[in-house]
Amino acid sequence: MTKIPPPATLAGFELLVMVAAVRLGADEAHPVSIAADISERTGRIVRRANVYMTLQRLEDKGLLTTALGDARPERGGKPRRLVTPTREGVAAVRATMAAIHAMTRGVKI
Amino acid sequence: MSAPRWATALLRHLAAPDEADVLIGDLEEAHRARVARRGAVVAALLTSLETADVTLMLLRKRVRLPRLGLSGLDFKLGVRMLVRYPVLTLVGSGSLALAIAIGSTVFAFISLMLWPRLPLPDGDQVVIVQHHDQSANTPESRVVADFLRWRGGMATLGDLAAGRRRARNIRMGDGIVEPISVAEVTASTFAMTRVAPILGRTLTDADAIAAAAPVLVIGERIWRERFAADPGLLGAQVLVSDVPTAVVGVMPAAFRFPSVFEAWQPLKLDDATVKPRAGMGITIWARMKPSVTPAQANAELAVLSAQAATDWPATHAHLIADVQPVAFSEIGNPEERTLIAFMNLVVALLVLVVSGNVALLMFARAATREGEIVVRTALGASRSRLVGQFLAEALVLSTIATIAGLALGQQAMNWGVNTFTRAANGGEPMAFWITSTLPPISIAYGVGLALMATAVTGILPALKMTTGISSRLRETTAGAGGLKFGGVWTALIVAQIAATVTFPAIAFFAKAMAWQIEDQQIGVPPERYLSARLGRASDMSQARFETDVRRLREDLAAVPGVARVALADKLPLTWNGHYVIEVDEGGQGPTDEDFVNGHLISTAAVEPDFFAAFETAPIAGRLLTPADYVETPQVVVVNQSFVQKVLGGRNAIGRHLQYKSRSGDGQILPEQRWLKIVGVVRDMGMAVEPSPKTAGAYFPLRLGDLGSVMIAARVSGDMTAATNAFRSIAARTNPALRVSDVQPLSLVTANGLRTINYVVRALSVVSLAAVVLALSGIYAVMSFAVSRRTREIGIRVALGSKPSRVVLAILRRPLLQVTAGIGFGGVLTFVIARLIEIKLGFSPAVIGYLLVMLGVCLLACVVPARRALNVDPIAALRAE
Repeated sequence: MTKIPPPATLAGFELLVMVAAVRLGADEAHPVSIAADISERTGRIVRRANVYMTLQRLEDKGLLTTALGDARPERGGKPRRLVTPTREGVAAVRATMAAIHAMTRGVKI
Repeated sequence: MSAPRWATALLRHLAAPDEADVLIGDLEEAHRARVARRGAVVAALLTSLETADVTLMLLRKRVRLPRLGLSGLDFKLGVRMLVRYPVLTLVGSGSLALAIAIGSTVFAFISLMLWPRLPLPDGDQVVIVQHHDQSANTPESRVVADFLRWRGGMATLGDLAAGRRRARNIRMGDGIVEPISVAEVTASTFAMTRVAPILGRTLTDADAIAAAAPVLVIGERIWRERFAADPGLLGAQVLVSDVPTAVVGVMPAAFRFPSVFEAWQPLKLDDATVKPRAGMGITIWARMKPSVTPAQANAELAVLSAQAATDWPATHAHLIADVQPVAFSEIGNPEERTLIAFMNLVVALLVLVVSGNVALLMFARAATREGEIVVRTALGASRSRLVGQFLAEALVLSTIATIAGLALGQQAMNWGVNTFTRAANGGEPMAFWITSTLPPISIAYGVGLALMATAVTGILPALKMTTGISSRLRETTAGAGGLKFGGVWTALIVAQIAATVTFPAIAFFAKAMAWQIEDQQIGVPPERYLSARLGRASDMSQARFETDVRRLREDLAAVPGVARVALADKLPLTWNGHYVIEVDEGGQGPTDEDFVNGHLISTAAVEPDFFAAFETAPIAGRLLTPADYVETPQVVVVNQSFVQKVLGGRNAIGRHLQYKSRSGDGQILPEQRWLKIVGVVRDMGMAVEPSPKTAGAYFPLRLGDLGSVMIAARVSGDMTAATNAFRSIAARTNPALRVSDVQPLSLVTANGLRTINYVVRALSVVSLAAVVLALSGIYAVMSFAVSRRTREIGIRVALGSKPSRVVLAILRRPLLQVTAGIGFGGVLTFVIARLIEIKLGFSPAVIGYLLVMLGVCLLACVVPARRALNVDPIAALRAE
């Protein structure tokens, strides 16, 4: 009998990127909006180069997929790279969040 | 507004084709959001930084750049190394600091000149509403009716204000009359600018009622200088022209809205009588409402313009309004703007060259640690660890340099804006958005330059030191050093020496120009002449101005101690305009390259008494006589240079000349007709340059044409008494007459001289830095050579080689570098001299200068050469 592998866990910034992608939805999640969302909610300065590298890493792990969107005038007629979390990606977010909750429960920080 | 073109081009070049489109799209989207939120300048800076970051990411993907593991210990070691080599620290950080200071200051100046910003709260929102006649293609300022209609309420613009400039004289309590530009503005101007007075109040709508008592708001400078910062000043009466006016408030020194004003009076608009496109000319300002863009404001103005065209078809059919920034750039020509912006690149290159030289010093020092590096490698230290350590040292050095450089840059800005620019602007203040604080964007630029310097001074020597380290491990243990100075370092030293030769020469050229101005002879002692400019006030008629000037002239001539008085549009030693003329039968001298048969000469319009006042007798022919002063002048008098340079020494009397234009350089010339030359006089200081411009012509002055005129009085008695007498006569003649530049004629050139002397001083500092850097570079190379060749020297001396041969062998390479540098520097100096029209031949002075520079550069070789001579062969061989 083959064992089902446990869901992947995410590093800090990976988690933020995945949550932002889930929140923004398939039509609106792309590097610029993800960086803006993280920056707005956490107050930290987000380098877009970091977002690109993290998205690449997550895609390599199979936690999300990307596809080109339509060309847009506000982007000088260039398309967006839209981000969609995979089922494994969503599972990884849940597993990481659960681990954080489990670790922090009852701890006064 | 799109992202910077270089950024998109860079990404297009570096990224894969499908990835490039997405990255550029992201860049555009993020940039536009930033422009809307933080303005174009900040957005450009942030987008540039972001592009650099994304570029690094792309490069890392391509070439797998090593990751540098920097630790606190690396920085501690860096500080220790800097303390251990104080001379290198001083020279390195000093040179980088100077380069960063120059870079950030030049960047700040260029930003101020090309992209000025209004230093008011939310200054980007304040705009000028400019009317334009589309059919005539001219701006229209008679728009009081539009202003009164619109100030009732607009959707996109608020706090509508209006004003105009008036030239007035202000007579303070101390009795001194000061010509000043007064801004007549509506009360809403102060609400719009959101700047509060430091004393009293600003203007109110009640002040603008026709029957209201005259009031005045003054600037802080006048309050401090003329009223000794008296807190009880409010209500005091001053004479504005000849009207007693109450001072009601004092505005801060930094507030000179709309440009250079230090006094504000109410603009009295009569709602009842004003007609469309009639009456006084005004400028309208407004504050765009929050989150309104210029495009939205323009859209509303287009609707309002169309409405006005319907309501007032006779006057407004072709009139359209739009918004413009208040802080405008004086440099409108796109080519000039590009050229000036390009200067940033030149300065960045300067920083790069300086960094390269500091890198050379760092490398020479690192070479002495080769053994340590080899051993560390043998013990397992990775290349990235070694590079990291070098980088940490460079970072410590450039941090010191950045702090010192930015502090120096701030000082340079203070000096540049408050002293140099003002002197270059003829002593007049600059627009209030030209501020002396180093702006954040310049500080960021300075930090960027420092990071570039860190990369060059840290990574270059580190890569050089750690390349081929395995083979060097073998060579070093076998007793021979493997490091060598390559072509890049040689090129750097040669470039540095060339700069060392060139900078002092440029400083000398500038100083020579100052000497030329100082030595200018006008045939009479200029300190015995009182000079001043008389100007027509805004409200004064031309006839009244003419009458007042003539009366003042008569009264001044009657003052004891004043021998002669004369009027002219330009006096000797002042800047005389240069104009193209042609002469009948052709000239003999050099012609202007833009005009066939045209000669560029200086010109002045003078009274008949002018020549007598300056003790000038005709050399040939006659002087101008009262009979020559007719409606259309027919005759001119020329100077000796004219005869020599234009006519080639031929007889001038009876010949004719004709001006190719009617005005320019602030002068009005005779109508385009042939003017007969009736006399020749000596040269009287019309131009400094040894060029055709010293050739000059004097034609009859017509006071009725001019808005201002200069007056000169030959004073045989006390100059101070004559000056005071002149001031009181001027105030008595007409308090509204604008009197400025009252000074002995000898001081006329003072402003120009001061500007040149500032340039000379700045160039001297740069020259000194260049010399120090070049000498350090040569010293470093020599020391390196001696330390690498100690064993060889020992063997050669042991085998009986003469010390002079040994020294020559070591000196050969630096000598070649120095000679090449001096040669390049010499060529560069000749090229620059040619560009600024200075004739430079192979005179003994030039050859002597080059030899002196050669000697100075070779001085740096003395200590290492002596060290080479003192090498003890036995000790050298034993050490190996």
